[in-house]
Amino acid sequence: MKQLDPLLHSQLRLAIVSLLVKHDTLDFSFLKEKTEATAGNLSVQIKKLEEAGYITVMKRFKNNYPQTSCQLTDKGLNAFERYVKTINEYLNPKN
Amino acid sequence: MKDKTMQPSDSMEIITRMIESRKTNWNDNGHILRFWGWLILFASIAHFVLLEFQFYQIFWTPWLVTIPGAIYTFVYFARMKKSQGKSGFLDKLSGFLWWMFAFNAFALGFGFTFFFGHLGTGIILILLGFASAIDGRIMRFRPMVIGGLLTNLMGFFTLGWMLLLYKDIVDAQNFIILLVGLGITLTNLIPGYIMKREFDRKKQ
Repeated sequence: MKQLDPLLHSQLRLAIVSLLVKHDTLDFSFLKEKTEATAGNLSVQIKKLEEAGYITVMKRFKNNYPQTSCQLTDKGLNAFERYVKTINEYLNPKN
Repeated sequence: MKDKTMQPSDSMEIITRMIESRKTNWNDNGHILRFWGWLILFASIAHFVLLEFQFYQIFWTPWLVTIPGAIYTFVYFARMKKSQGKSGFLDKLSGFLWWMFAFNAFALGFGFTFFFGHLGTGIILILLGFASAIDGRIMRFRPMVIGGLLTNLMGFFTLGWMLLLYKDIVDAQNFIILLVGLGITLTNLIPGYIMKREFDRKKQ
């Protein structure tokens, strides 16, 4: 059985990537609302995903307030697809 | 949500929950749907009235309201995208579908119908119903799917009617344009008001 990607095999990081699979670009506040995570924890996990090259983080100013948004990279999408495939193999092992 | 490791079944549960975080794919009060509903209803009635009073040179002018309408829609969605901070594939797909419909309807309305009368109206109704049913399916919003299917059927009946009886119903042709008003009522106005009611109910 293949090893699960440790970077994705955590609740919050997996939730972030799953949301980004559906929406190409998401604001930090939207991710926070949907994952119900604390801002600090979310920032840490976003940083880890960014360092792995799974997402890109864009910072800009909107109405004089900093705004952070995230986008899934091709590498992140491929990792997610591999992860889902591996999970399916765990859940439905072939004889 | 805490950050901790989990079982494969937990992973699947999170993926499903996040990807299907909404049962529906619409999250506004249907403002643009109703806006276009009233705009097209107004244009079709005005078109009919001008034809009835034999203003044959200017009967098409009410449709010019679609140009500022398109600009308003573009600005509205650009602002909404900025304020909501998200831009999904389905939103883009839905937007592309309607811009394609607008291009086709515009080309048919201002080109085809000038030469072939209301044959173009039948085709526009088919396209309107088609686009609406697909968009309703994308948004998982049944009233729009039903309105789209009914309008699509109405378009085929209109086209068939015009093709079979074209020469015999010249006097009745003016009424055909009102079918566009009926179609937009089915695809936009009724679903738009149902969407608003459901959205307001969810917000409470």
